[in-house]
Amino acid sequence: MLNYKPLEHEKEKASNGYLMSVMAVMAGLPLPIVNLLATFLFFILNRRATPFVKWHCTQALVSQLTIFIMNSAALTWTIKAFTGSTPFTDKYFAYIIVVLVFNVAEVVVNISAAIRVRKGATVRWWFWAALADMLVRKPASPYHAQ
Amino acid sequence: MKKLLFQFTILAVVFAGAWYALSQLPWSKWLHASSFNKKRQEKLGELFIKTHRLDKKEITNDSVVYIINSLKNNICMANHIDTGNIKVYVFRDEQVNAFALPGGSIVVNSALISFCDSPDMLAGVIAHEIGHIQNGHISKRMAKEVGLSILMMFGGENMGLLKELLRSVTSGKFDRSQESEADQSAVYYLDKTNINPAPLADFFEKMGKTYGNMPGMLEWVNTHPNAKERTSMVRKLAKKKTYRTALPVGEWAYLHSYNY
Repeated sequence: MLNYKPLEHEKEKASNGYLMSVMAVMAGLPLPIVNLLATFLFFILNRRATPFVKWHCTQALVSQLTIFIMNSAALTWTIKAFTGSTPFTDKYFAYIIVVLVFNVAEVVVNISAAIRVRKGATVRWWFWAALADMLVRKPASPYHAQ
Repeated sequence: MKKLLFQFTILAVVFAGAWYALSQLPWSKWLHASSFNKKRQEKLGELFIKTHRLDKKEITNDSVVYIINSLKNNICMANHIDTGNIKVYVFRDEQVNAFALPGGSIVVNSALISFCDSPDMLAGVIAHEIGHIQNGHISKRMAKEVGLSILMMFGGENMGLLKELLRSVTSGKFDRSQESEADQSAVYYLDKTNINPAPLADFFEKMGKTYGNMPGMLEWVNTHPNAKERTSMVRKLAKKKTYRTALPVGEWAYLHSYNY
């Protein structure tokens, strides 16, 4: 994979996968399901794309899935706290801050990935890249081809 | 796979570590979160009452308000519940109903007062609503309303949404376990106040007989435990002893025969 030379249209599509993720995080902040659905839709549309594009869309999708889980828990907790079902605790505020940091980090690394992938660079994130390797079947993954 | 698990563990440790470290700081104290929640609940309750006033006429007759409040105050004081935390409003409404609102307000419909055969029966229904408030059922139910989150987070006092929420609150959609818990609390509160809890069982029986087969009451029947079940449970819990009447005869006669 590290030696794989993607074509111009592949770089563009793979880069768009990350941009889609950024847009989805921003649009989906109040309702977490929005960002997961948007990224999933993009993933589905590109499921027949080249291994390079497919792999990057998968990496963007699995990272979104993590954010989706965190944001869903944050939203549920917030609703419960606002309605008085559970009290506002130090743990709650700490969780919200950590989730916000993860969301901001997600936006930053997605923008960075979109730029770097557009230039044809290899972008492999901690944990999510390994997960994407596992999910994209070996013959289809450019990373496994090496 | 090993690498994946290792990386996941590191990520989880970073997340949990950051969360734990940050939760050691007194955020709720800095942000005055405890008073915020109480005020928010009260404001929401007031907003409900304001919206309800647009559709229904509030009964503001001093004597009616005084009698209803004395009933509520007696139950609260005997059970060490702050009387100022619970407000009772009477509205002209043909539906036999009473419901609790966020912030500790109770709305009693005029038809309920007319429907009750005795002040003990009415006291039983009010004690049941106090049970919902004291057991935190209102906020638990509110949490289930997704619309509320939008209302609160975006701060809009959208009337349509508010009315929809109000409709949901007034429909009495507590789950069966919450209804049973409120019944048990009511029996306890009434006994402590020296009011006979048995008429609450009579109330359920009368409700079941009068409205049990009506299609419009299907929702009430579905969300509330079986009237027979509730009647027998309340009767079982009620002690065989001599109780005082919930209201003096004159006051009950005034309240019951008032032209709502």
